[in-house]
Amino acid sequence: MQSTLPTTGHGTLVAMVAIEARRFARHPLFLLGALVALVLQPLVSGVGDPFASDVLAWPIIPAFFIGLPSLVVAALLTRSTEAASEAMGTAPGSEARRTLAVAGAAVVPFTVGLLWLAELFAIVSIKGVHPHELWFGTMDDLHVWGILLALGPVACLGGALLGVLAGRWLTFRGAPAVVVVALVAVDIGAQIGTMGEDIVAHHASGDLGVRARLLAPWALWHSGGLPDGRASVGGGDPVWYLFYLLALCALAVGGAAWHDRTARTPRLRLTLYAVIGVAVTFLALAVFAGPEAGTVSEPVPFKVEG
Amino acid sequence: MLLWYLGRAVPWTTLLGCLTVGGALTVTTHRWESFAGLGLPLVALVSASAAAFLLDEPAVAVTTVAARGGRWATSARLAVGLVPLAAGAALLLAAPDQVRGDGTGWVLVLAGLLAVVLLLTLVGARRQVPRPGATVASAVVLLGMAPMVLGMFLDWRSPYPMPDLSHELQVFWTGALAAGLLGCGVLVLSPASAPGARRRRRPPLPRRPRSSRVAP
Repeated sequence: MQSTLPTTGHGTLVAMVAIEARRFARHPLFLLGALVALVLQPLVSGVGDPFASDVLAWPIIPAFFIGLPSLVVAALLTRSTEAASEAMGTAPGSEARRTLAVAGAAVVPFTVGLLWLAELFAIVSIKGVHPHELWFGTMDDLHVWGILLALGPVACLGGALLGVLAGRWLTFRGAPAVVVVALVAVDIGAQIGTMGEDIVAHHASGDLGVRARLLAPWALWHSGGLPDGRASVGGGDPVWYLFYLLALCALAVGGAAWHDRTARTPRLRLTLYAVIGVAVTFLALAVFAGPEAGTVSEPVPFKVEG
Repeated sequence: MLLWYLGRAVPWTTLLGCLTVGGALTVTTHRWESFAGLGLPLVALVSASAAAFLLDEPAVAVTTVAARGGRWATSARLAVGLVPLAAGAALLLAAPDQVRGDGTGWVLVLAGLLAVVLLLTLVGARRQVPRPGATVASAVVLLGMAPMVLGMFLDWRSPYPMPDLSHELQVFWTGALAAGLLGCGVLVLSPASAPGARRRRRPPLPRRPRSSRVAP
């Protein structure tokens, strides 16, 4: 296959990333999802409540409305770059560089995820939080940062990179929709043993099964508000979980680049093995190095029902 | 002729792949019934989204002028929508009794979703999008799951049977079914029914050359 651009060189890759980032940012599905996430966040933060509550459960909004559409958009963009090569035997750059270009465009959803995080802090600073809320002050600051970053902006980034991986390896037309369904099923399926009506007791038990949920690429940390006004955060270390997710992101990029036979160098193989090792280590640290039992809050009075 | 055409024009692998995923989800609801709250809506969504690929046509500009005409081809492809409807209904009815209720609600939801999917796909095909399926299917899956996510924060009721449909939701899904079918019917029967037969503006008339002023 011929290439219309040099297959090496930093400048051309940057130019390709810029082009793909513009295509990403203009895709209607991504725009709609990002808009919905940013507009809905103030509404789901409890308009009538005196304080912002269950704040650590909020990251499901960007993960769903930015991360999952980004997965679809990245998969479609990745497939679209192959149209020219399949039709005419020519394409800009090598396949691996086109893959890296779309992966680089994942900075767009990551940036929107950071915007969402800024919005979250703005809402919290305006409304304030109850002293019993699981937040800075009642939890380790690093753990709060870990949960917010892992389940918010990094989930947006990871969704896009998983889309690149799926776009490169799954060539059937329904792949993006199927991957979205599979991802949601895996994420929720991993929480099955840890949820239910007595989720606070599950979190407080320190059961290894609760911490094993961290294997999922989007694990639920916060229980959500319960009728008795309490809430809980599951066991495990959110900071190591954040690093685990970043390792999965790197693995997605490497795995997508590996699809190009010409890019399968010993160096890339070694890098992928190293990243797999690092990911397993971070997961083990997230599961075993963090607190076994979760944190259970005192009842927040205005959340008590009845 | 019809079967020959459908055998080649319809992406059966993709369609059956989506239904296979639905089957796997149904099996999962048997193993973990607590998963059914999410699993059954996903079965309905993925089964309905299988219909989004029925009008995928890479060579849309060529097939638009086929001898049998776009209306015949479009109608034939849309009729295949009965396959994901039947298969999806079978998958939903195969779920455990205690989580699916009497099943009529799920069949109505599936039919409503499928009609909307076909309408959206037909709109895409008429705008000469060669393969609207992937985008429509993904968008429908995401939009279909959105109420469940928002329901965690807002006092929204799920639009899906839990395990039966309320009267309001029956009206809603019947309306979606009627709107989808009506829209498909109008689009198929309207003159520009062929995929890709987008109306084009009539080319502007050539301008009359300016007459040069001639001094009297």
